[in-house]
Amino acid sequence: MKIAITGHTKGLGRELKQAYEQQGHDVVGYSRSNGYDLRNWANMQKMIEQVKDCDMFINVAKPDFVQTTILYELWKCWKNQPRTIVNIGSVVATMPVCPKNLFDDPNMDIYRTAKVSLNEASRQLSFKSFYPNVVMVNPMHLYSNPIQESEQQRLTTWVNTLIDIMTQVDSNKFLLKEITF
Amino acid sequence: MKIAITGHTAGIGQALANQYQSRGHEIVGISRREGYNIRVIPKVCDLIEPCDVFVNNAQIGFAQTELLFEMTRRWAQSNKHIIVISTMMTQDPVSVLPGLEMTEYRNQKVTLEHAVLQLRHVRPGIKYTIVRPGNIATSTDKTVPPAADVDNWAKVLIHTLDMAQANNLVIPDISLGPTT
Repeated sequence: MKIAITGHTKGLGRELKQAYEQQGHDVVGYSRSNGYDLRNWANMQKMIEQVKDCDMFINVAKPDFVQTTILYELWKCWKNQPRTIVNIGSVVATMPVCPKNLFDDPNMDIYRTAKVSLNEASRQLSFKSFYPNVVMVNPMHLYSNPIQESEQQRLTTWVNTLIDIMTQVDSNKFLLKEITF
Repeated sequence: MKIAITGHTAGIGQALANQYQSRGHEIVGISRREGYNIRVIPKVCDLIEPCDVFVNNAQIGFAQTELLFEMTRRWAQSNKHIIVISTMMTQDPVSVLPGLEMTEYRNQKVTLEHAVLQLRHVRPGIKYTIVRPGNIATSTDKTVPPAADVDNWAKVLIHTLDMAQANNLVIPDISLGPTT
């Protein structure tokens, strides 16, 4: 498979890239470090143009509402094509509201709102057409930018589990739409 | 009162500005036509900050939501009023209009409303009113034939908000559209 990943230089994106590469897939990454600040419209369009013939796109990088915009732009490009868009959200999007003191992070409000937006867009687009397959993945209790060794190990295990699930679903000719774990 | 309105030179924003003005309020208008880009959040918020009411009307991408978060941060210690212009489309579980643009537009408005619910929960103090217009005549929406006049709509809306305030009542959200 040819796979494109945003935010491939750290945390979850990096783990995904390494894991897929180990399985022999062709992985291409887009993030600020290689000149793709995706908040910039021209950069985003350039990326969309380049990923046209990929089989899978993994939407990881999360500056503000950019993930939702990327999803719509890529969906337009891939409409009715048997390809897969995997969106990485967060468990906070599945909660009715973000708790007041979650991680004591004042930006949690806007973070959750952006992830809600991504979840909603994912469902609307799945309703619009069968392909491309839009998968919504909401990681739970996971350090996406681990500091400690144990956190790193947990992230690696999580990524391997996700890839295993997606591969199993795919090889049995099922479609995965949403998963929180 | 001093009322900030984004997108005050066309459509709903203009109708609301006219209504407020005729009731003796001072308008701080922020529009592209006057050289302001609502995507430049800090600059726009500097203009809104000294006002009493913010009518968060103009929409480009997610800028409306970003303005909402920033003004909530700046007005955190106040009980000022933010009126958020959404759309009745958010009340449909699916985006039924043809064309991906409307799905994207609806997503931006759903996101905006979610942000209000989130902020209301964690930041008590500021008053938020979500306003959902139905199919009313505005100069920007030419896809569907309009069923109600935007000036009448604005008059009814502001009358309703004023009535509520005069009676110490609060309107968290209001959907207001034509009968047909």
